[in-house]
Amino acid sequence: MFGVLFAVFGLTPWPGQATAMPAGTVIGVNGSCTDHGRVLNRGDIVQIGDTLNVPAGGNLKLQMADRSVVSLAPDSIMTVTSYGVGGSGRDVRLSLTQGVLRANVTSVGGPSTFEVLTAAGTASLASESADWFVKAQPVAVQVGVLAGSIDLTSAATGQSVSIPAHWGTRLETGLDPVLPRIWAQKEFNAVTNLTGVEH
Amino acid sequence: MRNKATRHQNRRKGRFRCCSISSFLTLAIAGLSPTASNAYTAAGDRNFPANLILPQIAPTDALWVDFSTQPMTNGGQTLLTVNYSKLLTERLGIQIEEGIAWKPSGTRAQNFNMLLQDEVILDQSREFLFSVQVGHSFGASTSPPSPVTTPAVTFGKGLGDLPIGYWRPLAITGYAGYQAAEGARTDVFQAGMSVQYSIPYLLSKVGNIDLPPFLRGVTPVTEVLFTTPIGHAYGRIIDTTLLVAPGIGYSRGRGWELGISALIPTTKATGTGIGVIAQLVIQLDYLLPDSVVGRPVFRPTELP
Repeated sequence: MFGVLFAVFGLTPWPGQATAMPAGTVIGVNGSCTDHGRVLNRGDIVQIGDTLNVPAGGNLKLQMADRSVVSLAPDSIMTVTSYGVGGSGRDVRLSLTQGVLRANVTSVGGPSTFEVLTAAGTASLASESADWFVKAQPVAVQVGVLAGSIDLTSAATGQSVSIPAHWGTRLETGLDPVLPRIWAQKEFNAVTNLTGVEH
Repeated sequence: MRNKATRHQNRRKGRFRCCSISSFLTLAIAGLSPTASNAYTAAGDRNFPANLILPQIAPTDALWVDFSTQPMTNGGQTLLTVNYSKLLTERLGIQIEEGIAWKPSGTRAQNFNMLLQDEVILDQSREFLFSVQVGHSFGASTSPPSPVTTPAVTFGKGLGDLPIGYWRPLAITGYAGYQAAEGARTDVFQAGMSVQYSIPYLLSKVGNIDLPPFLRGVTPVTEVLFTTPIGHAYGRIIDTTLLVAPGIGYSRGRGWELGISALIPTTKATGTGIGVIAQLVIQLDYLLPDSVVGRPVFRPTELP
């Protein structure tokens, strides 16, 4: 059913995306996660422009139109700013206001943009596919990469760093990104636990 | 590279009373230097740049090449050394070192060195780490071979957790080791420290300052290495040495790092003139993160 919906609505050319277009489907939910006040259930459609709110103790997992999987940890707020997927490529922008997001981004043909915007800066896909975390804090953002490669760019200075697999870094509002370093497995496991959803 | 620096010093300091064995002793003491390991490492948001004459403060997956030259009493000496460091676990690593020395007396291979190093304390929030290590120099380039074993400790401490404003980019690293020689040779105590001011840390943790692109990756560093003989002298005079190495490290976090420093001997025993040392570090864990050369051999369990 949802595959049909994606085929009809989701796989639109990505330039000039309109709002109220299906971007993904809820495939896992714990707690009272909401979309503009509407409580989300497994199987619900998430539209472009929707703002998803995950309460303390909750979790949310989405299967996106390009088969990517986006998971949100407790106390997270994310807006699907744009989600364009089509034969000509992919153009995705998610805004993470607070909390932790895990994005397991698939490979697509053609040019691909997959960005997570935060107040401090933007984390963007720098490889064909990636599995990565973004943690938005009041004055900083933290990025850890399990697979693939991610660029983190400061909104204030425009300086960026590339983060390879198994590495991570931090960006404080108004400053350059910190030079990346290897993350210990326990650091990855901690955020993996946060974004895990029991099906 | 610290090996090389130490060798510079030790060769100069080795003014033995017994000339017939001076060459042997010079080479033997040269082998007493701790195994160099000068790649990068990090503790929290603190990225410690590669040391040039002091050891690496923690194990890593990296390959680096050192090139140094320095005037000596009997002419100049030029060293080229290649180091390979491999993580066995996230905290435990091994390192091997080999190189070539060009001297007025001829070209020869340097001693082959191995090191086992364990990062026993890593406090990310306090930008502090502490490692223990044991190195062994096989001394095969000397005749007869002059092996030495060196247990040592290293540490690194960034000051970013302190409320000191623009001094927060400061960091120090330290090293202390005891070189135990085999046979009738003198043991040597070595200690050293570095003081560094990280511009990348300044721009990413302290303030948004408009600087030219090159300066954004620079870390001025001054290293100091001290050696002194310990215990039985075997009828020889071996002087204390002190080498100072002011220089810079350069890294933009893209998988490589460059360092260059002057080598300033502060005593006659340390050297006769100012030398220079340069180092290129290839961060294999950054450039080949999914390969066996870029990841620890044994890793903790990964969650799905």
